[in-house]
Parts: sequence; structure tokens; C-alpha cells
Amino acid sequence: MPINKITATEFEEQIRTAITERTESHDTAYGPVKDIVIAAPAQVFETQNDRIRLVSLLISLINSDSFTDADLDALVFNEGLTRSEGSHATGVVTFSMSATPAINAVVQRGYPISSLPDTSSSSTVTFVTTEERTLDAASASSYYNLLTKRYELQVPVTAVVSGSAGLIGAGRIKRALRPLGLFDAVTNTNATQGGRDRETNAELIERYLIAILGRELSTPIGVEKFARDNYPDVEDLLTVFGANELLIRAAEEAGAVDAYVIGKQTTTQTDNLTFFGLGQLMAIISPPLVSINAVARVSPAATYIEGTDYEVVFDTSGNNSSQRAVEGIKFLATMVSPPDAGQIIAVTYTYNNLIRSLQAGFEQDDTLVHGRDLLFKQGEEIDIILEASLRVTAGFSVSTVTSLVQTAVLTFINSLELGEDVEVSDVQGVVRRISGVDNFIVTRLVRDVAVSGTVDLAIDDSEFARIQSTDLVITLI
Amino acid sequence: MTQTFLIQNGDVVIGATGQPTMVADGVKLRQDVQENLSISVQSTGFGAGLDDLVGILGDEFSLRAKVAQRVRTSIGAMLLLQNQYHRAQRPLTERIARIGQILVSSVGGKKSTFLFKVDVMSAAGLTASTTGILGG
Repeated sequence: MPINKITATEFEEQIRTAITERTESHDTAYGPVKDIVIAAPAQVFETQNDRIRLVSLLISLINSDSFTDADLDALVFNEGLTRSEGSHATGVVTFSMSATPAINAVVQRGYPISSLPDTSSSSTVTFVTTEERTLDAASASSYYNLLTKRYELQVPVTAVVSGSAGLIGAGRIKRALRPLGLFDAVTNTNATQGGRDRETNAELIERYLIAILGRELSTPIGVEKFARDNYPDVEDLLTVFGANELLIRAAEEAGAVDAYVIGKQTTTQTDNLTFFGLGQLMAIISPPLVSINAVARVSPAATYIEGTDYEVVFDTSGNNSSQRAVEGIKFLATMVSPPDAGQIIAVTYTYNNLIRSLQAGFEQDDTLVHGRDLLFKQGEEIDIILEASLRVTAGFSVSTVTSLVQTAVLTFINSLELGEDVEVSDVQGVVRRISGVDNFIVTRLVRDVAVSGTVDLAIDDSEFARIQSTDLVITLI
Repeated sequence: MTQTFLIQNGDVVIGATGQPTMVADGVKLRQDVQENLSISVQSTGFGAGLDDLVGILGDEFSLRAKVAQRVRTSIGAMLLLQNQYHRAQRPLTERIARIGQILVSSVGGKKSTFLFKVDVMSAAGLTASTTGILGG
């Protein structure tokens, strides 16, 4: 929430209004009431407002020049970032002598050399050698420079000060701050390099944002965060990767990562598909398919019935439930009056556009993670059937308690996320918190209408449990 | 009726009950005029800012005119504030009707010290007189 600037004068008006609402007899226009009760607090409030605004600006990272380095350092440390204090410029200097050396000439590590005074500021920069180097007298000829006609020894140096101040042009580092010994001159042939200044607030903010974005897009939590931040229809998201047995396409597709989603943006579309023959898949254009609404021949007009004329075919491969799924309808071999080959069949269907939006959203230039084949899939809804016996404590309204139990169970199961098992003890825990429940016995908890039993239901990472009110049967005992 | 804290010797007067003593009517008018003449000019125009003139040397008549002009301006601003705030509650005894007189006179041979007297007439016909010395 942005915190707007409120001046002391504006605070005065607010306090004046508040006092007047309490009593109109206190003179708030001038005099001691204004001086003591209105003007003085208003000044304090303005100062406090400025401080709160500073926090607001810091949180929103607006106006990076308006907050202190320490404030920003503390904020970015939440992401494990620390400000770069800059780097020291480095370079190479050449120690030289004109006479042939009779003995080894050594330059010690830490030997100081200074630049000539800057023509505008008169400042100098001191460098020190970072290695010990020796001009070997026995092989002096190898150090001889025909161009300069001098014996030369190159030694790496680094600036004592950090930052761009250490960037010195060629030929300007030539003031030896200690006796040169056997050498008679020192200089730098090339300009020094590096020497980055201390990181500014703007630079640190940029790195902070990059750190956040980078984390968001390459980790399971990051994928979920980005998806839920940018796609409000996403209720839950779970990525499966590595050795997860659900990742059946991993063997064929390198870097495969599947992201199962709870959430829908259902969209209806009609595709005009060409009929090639009975038993042949007529794949819809915009998977993943939710349901087939109508199938009809365009000309001559004819309508087809699911189960009698065609069947709905869902993709069961590793690309199932994604926008790469190949699914649609197949006309049954048993159908009467099949269309002729080549005739156009209008297939009206509903698909989950949220999956397609997510897929497209994570394949943009600024969201794509190299080396990862992220595939969004709609999670599979598992419809639960729960039957239970309920005894209500004497004195409580049976209808009220029953209604509370039904609501509690429906709310609990219908808010479970991807991969969360349905456990009898959890259902019991929810129900037992309701006053008036004397006993609650789960007599059936299944995910298949054809079976019975009360064992805990295992839900895969690609699944999520849901229950319809009609599938929750509570019998009073 | 409007009221405000009673100020004596520059401080709020606390009564026997522990509450600030309040003033109203003509007493309040006189107290407010005194404050007006003794403080710097506020953002609302209240305050004569006579302190700014302390120590200024110059033509005596010119300085006297300047003192009178500042007093008149500040009383005018005070009148505007009276009209702007608490107009319905402000009694006639406190409401400024006009400035009765402004007297500014030199003190002895001191060229930068002035004695001034301001009479403000309330709508009830009462006069709130204030005197002061500017300089020393």
C-alpha cells in the first residue's frame, strides 16, 4: 500500500476536525488549543509520516535515492544479498633498466608505485605489486626489449583504493615510492582495468529483483509462486520431477517436469474436423479436453450421440491432460449411418484454457528456464464417497449439528490440495471439533462407487480429492 | 460559545480539578489579541511578526508605520479566521468588529524602541486593549 505524503498542515486539519466533532466550543482557529493540541502533534505526525513513507518506499523499491544504504542493505539481505563494495583496479607495470644486469634484479611483492598527479584534481593513486618477480641476470637477454633498448620486467599490480579511481591511463604509473634498486624506471604500458565502484542502490535493487525472479522460475516453489501470482485461477500447483513415477514421459523427453494444476478456465470451442473412418481418432485442436458437448455433421446435417455413435478419447500418454495431449472422439464401428470419409464433423467441446495460458506464460523469453521441459497438466479430480453414522448429544439440535457436520466435511475435503490423502482420522478431527457430536463413525470412505471400505484414500500428486454433497451420506443413530 | 485555555505567564493554567482553566468572551479576545501581537506570522496570517522589527534602525516615522501596518494586517487575518472557524459558536463579546486605534510612539531617545497600544472593538461594543514595548 503506497503511503502518501501528509503535511503538518493537513494533519492540523484532521485534528481540528476531530476536536470539532467532539466539541465545537474549543477554538481551533488560533490560540493555545491550536498551538498545544493541534500544531505540535501535527508536526510530530508529519515526521512519523515521513518515516513510514520511507519504509513504504523501501518495500516498493521506489526512489532508490531516498533511502539509506543501510536500509536497503537490510532489506536485500532477506534474499541473502550483500552490497558489493567494489573492486580494485589491476594492471601490469614494467620495471626497466638500461644497463645489463650483473646480478638478479628482484621486485618484492607489495612494492608501491604511484601514478603521476591527475592534471585536474592533482590526486594520485598508489598501486602495489601483487607478486614477487625476478629479472634473472643469467638470462638477461630474454628480458631485453629491442624497441626500448632496455631490460624490462613486467609485474602485476593492484590499486590500493577500490573503485574507478584506480583506472589510470597508460604511461602514468611511474613514480616509485621505494628505491628502485637495480632498475632505473617503472611505468605501465597499458591502462589499468577493473576497478568497479561500490554498488549503488539502483544496481543493488536490480540484482535483488534478478535474484527473486531467478528463484521464482527455476524451483518448484518458484513455479508455484509465479503461477499463483500471475494466474489467479490457479488454486494449487504441484511439480513432479526426477524419479517421480508419475513422470512417465521422462524417459523420452529430456528435462521433463510436469506441473499439475487445480484450477480451470473452461472455454467452449467448435472444431470442424474431417472424418476419415470409423475407429480413427479425430483430435481436437485445443487440448486439454474437459468434455465433448456436441458432435454433428455439417452437411448433410446429422447429430451424433456419445456411446451410440462415438466415444470420447482422452490421452493416456505422458502428455495427458496438457496442451500436448492428443484427444478427441472416435466414431464407433457399431454406429448406424456413419459419415462418409472426407465429410466435415463439427465437434463442440470444452477445454481448460488455464493450462494453455500457463504453458504459454512459462515459455516467454523472460520466464523460460533453459534445459527444463515444463509441461502443465490439469490435475485429476477424484470424487470421494463418504458415508457415516452420526449420534448427536442430547440437548443439541439434531438438524443443526447434522448440517454443521455436513458443511465441515465438505469444506475439509474440498479444500484438500494436490496429492493430499483423505484420512479417516483427519475427517474425524474436523467433525469432533463441532459441539453436539456425540459419536461419528465413518462406515464407507471410497473413491470408487463400486467398492466398499473405510481405509484411508491415497491420492497421487496428480490428483486432488473432492466430494459432492450428494456423495456425503450421514445417517443418524 | 467558544473557549480556549487560559494562559498566564506563557503557560496553561491548571485548575483545582486538574483540568485546564478555560476562558471565553472578552477575556479570550484579549488573550488572543495578545498572542497575535507577540508571535511570528503563521501560515494562516495570524501573528504580527513584530519581533522581526526589533533592532532595526531607520526613519522613526517609517518604522512606526511598519509596526502599525503589521498589527493591522494580523488583526485582519484574525478576523478572517474568526469568520472561517466556529462562526456560529463565537459570541459577540469575542467577535472582532473593528480596530479601535493603534498607537505607536517612540520611547525616550531610543530610535529602535516603540511603545504600542492596540484597541480592538468587539461586536458587543467592548474594547480589548493591549499594550506592549517593541525593542528595549
